[in-house]
Amino acid sequence: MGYINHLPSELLLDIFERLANTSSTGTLTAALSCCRTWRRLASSVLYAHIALDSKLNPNCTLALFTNQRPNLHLVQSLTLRMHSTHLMGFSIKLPRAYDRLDGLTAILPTMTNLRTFSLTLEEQLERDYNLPTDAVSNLLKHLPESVVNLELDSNGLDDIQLSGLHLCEAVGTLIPRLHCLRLRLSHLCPSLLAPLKLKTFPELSPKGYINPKPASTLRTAVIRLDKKISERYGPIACICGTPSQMKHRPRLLFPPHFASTIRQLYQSGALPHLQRWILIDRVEADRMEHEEQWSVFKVRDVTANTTTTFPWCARGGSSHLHMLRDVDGADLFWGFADMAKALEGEVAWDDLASRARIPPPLPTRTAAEVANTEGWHVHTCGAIGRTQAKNRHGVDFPLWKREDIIGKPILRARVAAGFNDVDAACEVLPQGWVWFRPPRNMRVWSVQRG
Amino acid sequence: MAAASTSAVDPAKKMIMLTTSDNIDIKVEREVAERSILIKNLLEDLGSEGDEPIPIPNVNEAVMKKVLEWCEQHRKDPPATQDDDSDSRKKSTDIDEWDQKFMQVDQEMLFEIILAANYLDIKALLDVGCKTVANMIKGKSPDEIRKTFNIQNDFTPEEEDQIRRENEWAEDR
Repeated sequence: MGYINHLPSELLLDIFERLANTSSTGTLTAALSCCRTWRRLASSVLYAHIALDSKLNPNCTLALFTNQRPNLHLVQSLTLRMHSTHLMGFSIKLPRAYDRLDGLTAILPTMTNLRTFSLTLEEQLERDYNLPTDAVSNLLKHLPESVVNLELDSNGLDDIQLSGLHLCEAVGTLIPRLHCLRLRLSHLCPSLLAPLKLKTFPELSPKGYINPKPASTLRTAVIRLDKKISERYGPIACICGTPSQMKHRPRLLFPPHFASTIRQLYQSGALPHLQRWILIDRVEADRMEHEEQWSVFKVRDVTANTTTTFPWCARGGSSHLHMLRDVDGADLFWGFADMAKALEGEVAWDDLASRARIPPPLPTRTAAEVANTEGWHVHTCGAIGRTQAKNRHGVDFPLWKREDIIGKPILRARVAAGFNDVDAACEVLPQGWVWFRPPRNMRVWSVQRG
Repeated sequence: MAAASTSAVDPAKKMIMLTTSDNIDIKVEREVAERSILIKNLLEDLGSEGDEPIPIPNVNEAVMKKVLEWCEQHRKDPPATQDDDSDSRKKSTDIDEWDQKFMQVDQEMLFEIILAANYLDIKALLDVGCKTVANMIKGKSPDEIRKTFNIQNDFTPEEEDQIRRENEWAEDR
């Protein structure tokens, strides 16, 4: 009689991995409840990459997990996803909001096989919630030594004002031992990079202090300076400061400076294993301008020393679609969150079926290849093309009409050497063409031979 | 049938002989048998005079015929690449129609096919087999899974209680 448990363990594991990749965690909990063999094998798959949701509710998965503390030695990746209620609890200073994380800080140091830690927010938070930096910093302090991949994505909702504590030092001390880093915080400052400074840069360390630490093991890093547009701080990360500075004179971080500082460190040899470090920022076009002004995303590739500028635009109306023109001249359409994610290209973190986040594999292209070819590549998966957007969603841009009249593209994604490119994008008319407003439709600019 | 040794015969169409575990000889075109990396490597190792039957001591006639039926259907598929080893292979449990029909066999045969595909090193067939089993597990309660696969519940009541408590965080809700 053929019997499933006569299959060798590696084949049963293979089957459980497929279940983990294609269905919710409940499928694996059912499997591991069948018999001892399955419990041993399916647990090793279920617990390898876990995602916990934190809410104020005592039945949230974070609370259930930290109360039981099961199979901690099996956990390799842990994603903590904070929900709006928890963040709301923080902003009204509810003690329970802080207490909720105590269970996790108690067990984190004992998770000795943990390699990846990710803190993210429940998606689609539309109001200004607060994630206090002291709570985050406390979590970072309790990470076990084994953690080499770190992601902190607050979408810019982390709040310095509550505690005055900025996260750069807490993250910075971890950077030398990390392989993979991804950050999206509301505030950043050069102290993030201080632990990377080598003796080749004595002028950068205070009082000529020579840092004897070995060089960093960092392979890939993504720092997103773009964030949810908040009325307080705008679309770009600010420089850390005291609560009163933050309140009265917040200073925007200048992406070219930050990129250059990292580039200097890279060239000084402080990052010998680095394969890719990108910064992503955005420049908003003035909405009241003529239509030839486009908002852009900028991907600054520190390793390749290039800045790639991608024009994008909301389709407006009832559609959630946003268009981005890539370096090949193709127009791609997604919802905003997917478009923003696609910018990270080959260094984007991945969501598993369990909703645990894992770092990207090592990039396939070398920095020189990126520098010598056509700039940064966005991820096109999940996007729809122009024809589909037109036919299925009735998308139509005046830009396309103008390009049809002229017979060639007048808006391009552009690649510039270095990091000085801070401009939005323009539609550039070829010689012999001029703008005009058609009398029958004064709102939409057209072009004609002049 | 023409002698297999004439030079005019396309080497892919050349017939080779496999001897199964129950001592049955099965004739099969080389190209079909070479879906099995084990057989392919053996044939290459034996060189051109590989006319003697190749013993396959772990697979019986019934299973071998079934496996060769699959190989015949998939004889023109591109060979497995190194990439297929990676996780991307495991990201789906979709099975194409022909393979689904092919896998409609009793459980004994299903596990025999999986074991044979594993032994003979036929990645794509092993894939289909594991996907089929994964799909049989999906959406079932522990009791239903045990019933489906005739698994003995070997937990004590205390263990069952502990399992329920410690995995509650991962239950679907």
